[in-house]
Amino acid sequence: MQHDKEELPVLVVDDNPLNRDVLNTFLSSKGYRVEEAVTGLDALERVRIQSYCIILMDLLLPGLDGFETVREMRRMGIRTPIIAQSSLSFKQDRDQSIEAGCNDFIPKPIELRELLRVVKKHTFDSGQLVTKQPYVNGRDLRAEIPGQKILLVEEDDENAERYLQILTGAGADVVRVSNGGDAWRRIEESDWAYGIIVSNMFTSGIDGIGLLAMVKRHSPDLPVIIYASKYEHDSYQLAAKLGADGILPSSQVELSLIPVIESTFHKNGKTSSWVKDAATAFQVRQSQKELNRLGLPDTQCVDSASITLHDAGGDMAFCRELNGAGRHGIILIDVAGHDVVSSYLSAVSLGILTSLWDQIRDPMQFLTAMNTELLKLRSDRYHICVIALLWDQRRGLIHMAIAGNPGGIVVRKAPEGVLRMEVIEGGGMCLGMFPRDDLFVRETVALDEGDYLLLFSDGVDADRLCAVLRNKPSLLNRETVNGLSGELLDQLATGTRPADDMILLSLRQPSLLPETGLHFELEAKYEDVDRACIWVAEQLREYPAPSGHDVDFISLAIREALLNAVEHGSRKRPGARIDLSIYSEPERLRVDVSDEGKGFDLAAKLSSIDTIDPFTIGKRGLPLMRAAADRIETHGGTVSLLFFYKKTIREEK
Amino acid sequence: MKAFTEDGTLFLVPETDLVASRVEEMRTFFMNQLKSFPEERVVVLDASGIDIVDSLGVNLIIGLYKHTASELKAFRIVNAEEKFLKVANFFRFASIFPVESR
Repeated sequence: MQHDKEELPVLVVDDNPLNRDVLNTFLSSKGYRVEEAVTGLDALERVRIQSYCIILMDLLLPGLDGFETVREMRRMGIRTPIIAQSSLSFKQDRDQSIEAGCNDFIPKPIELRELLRVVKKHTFDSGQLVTKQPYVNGRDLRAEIPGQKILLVEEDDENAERYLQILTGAGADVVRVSNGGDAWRRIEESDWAYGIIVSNMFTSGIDGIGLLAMVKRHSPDLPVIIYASKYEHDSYQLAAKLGADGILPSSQVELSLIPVIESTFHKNGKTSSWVKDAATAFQVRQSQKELNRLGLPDTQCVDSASITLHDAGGDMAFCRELNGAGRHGIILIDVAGHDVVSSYLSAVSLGILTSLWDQIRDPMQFLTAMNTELLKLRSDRYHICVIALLWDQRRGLIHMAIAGNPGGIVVRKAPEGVLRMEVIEGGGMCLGMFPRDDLFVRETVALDEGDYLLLFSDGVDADRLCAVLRNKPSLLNRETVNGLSGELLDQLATGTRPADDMILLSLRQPSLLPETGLHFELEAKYEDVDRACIWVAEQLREYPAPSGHDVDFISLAIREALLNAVEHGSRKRPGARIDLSIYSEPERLRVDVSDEGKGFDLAAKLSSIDTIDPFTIGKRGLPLMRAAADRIETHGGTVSLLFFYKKTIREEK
Repeated sequence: MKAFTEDGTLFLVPETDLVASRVEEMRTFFMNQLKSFPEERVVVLDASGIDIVDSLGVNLIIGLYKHTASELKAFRIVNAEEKFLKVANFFRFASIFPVESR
């Protein structure tokens, strides 16, 4: 059944009678039934007893303000789309309202055409309601399963019992049969009264695939979900081609069967969906924000911020500190579209890239591998633009690979204080479209201390960003990069409404490789350890051996630290880098070995070594390191061996 | 690396450092030699040319010793040079099997 627009109730919450009048008159003329609330408490009281398709919320309410009112509604489990309206400053207002739980934002004074667009966006899909029960306020999202007549096709009694429990536990009316032949008879005898079929792919007689084919030939809209104990590519493909509404492995039935059924109802428009859409999009957006924050390490050199205009979207930034010597892997993703699928693709991309960083150190190879994975999703309707880069902070070198249109600007300070800006155009083919890797663009950028690299999604206009920097170069007069991205986006959003979501990632080059130290870079393999140790031997000739130390043991300790980095820190991953540095400091010789691991509890390891016993020696060579060095310190993936020149300090050990 | 027998003794001669990059290859070679000459009752690791021994090299030496001990054979190291002796002394090899310097 479809609802007429007249049935759609809207709640307008505003303490200003004039505003309420304007909105009431306008929305009523468009066929909505408008109710009004003057205060936050009034609004809360109304949503307790009445359901609405949408709520328009003024943020500056007397007493309980709009932010708190929205938070309270969300706490109550109300999932009705809420549109914030306010005359407060643009970005701050929007971000806070979205964080409070609003789904969208309209600045005051309200443009009525824009208001109608936003209201329609949250209540209609292509001009038609996508729901039969729109006013549930999202309180009982499983309301669609109770009472559903489900036919379960499972031969194994034990499995059947478990699945019956899951389905009946969700309130379904379940009938179980053993195979496809029995199922078909039941379906015909019941005159197609079942609302959904859940079948094992492999049964005797007519199996799940056969049943699926028969059902879909006769009634394409009747949902059929297939599960199988083992993955068979051809069978899965065939099930998908025949129109299975869900395919899942048996191991996932307990966890996923109910969500898959719900999703199937959603897809077929059988029950309430728009409330769930809004809630899902909201949750995805919130998760993205968390991921963006969590992905960035606590660093003075990397900063990100975003402005989101839509419930859902695919903008994502992710930074990973690859080792303690200033190597970072950074990704900026911009998925086209602003729906749940784009959010999903963004999340999938994040999953792929976090696992790939462990194996791949070349940005171009990285994009190639990511492309291969994304092609499996067959999501060619959704363009995925990515910049992947490796930043060697110590040397000020950035190697980038670009797919699609995210852009970048290198900002350098010329001697006279003028900013010099170089635009990185991006280009190349988006990911997930073609199985080719020659379509991506490679760039290398060299930075000096204090230079900036700004990377952004296509919602940011590079020319406008350059103009902002030219007009306000003082934005870059700062000790750390923290907060820069937000300030720049604020500037871009001032006085104009952004056309798209914006995400901006700012990198500031810290001081380059210190001149006091000697540095060697190696790959995580034994042969490179030998190479590094030859270099160490050459360098140590330049230094007097610290008192009481044997230079051979110093060399051995360094070798053991390198072996530790190869085996445990970087786990011999091809391409993984290790940085070795020797510093001659006033009172000591310090050797840092930085790998790509997370470090280990050195104190516990050292305390476990009571005696030097060759029979129990571990591969770490900790006894050798401990015997040779006066002190060993760890910081993340960096192990520091300290050799003091003053003998007294050694004796204090 | 090489191996040869003489008067009931199997000589294992790495000729180079006992370090991680070479240890696996040496282990395979030496274990094959031990299997090929089961009748030799003494096994000697000739340390000529060994300058550096890292922790994996130590593991190799201890592995050879354990293998020979399990077959009730004698094991010793000969021709140890200064750097080798530092590591041998650090791990107290001499308390387990004889270590003779050059």
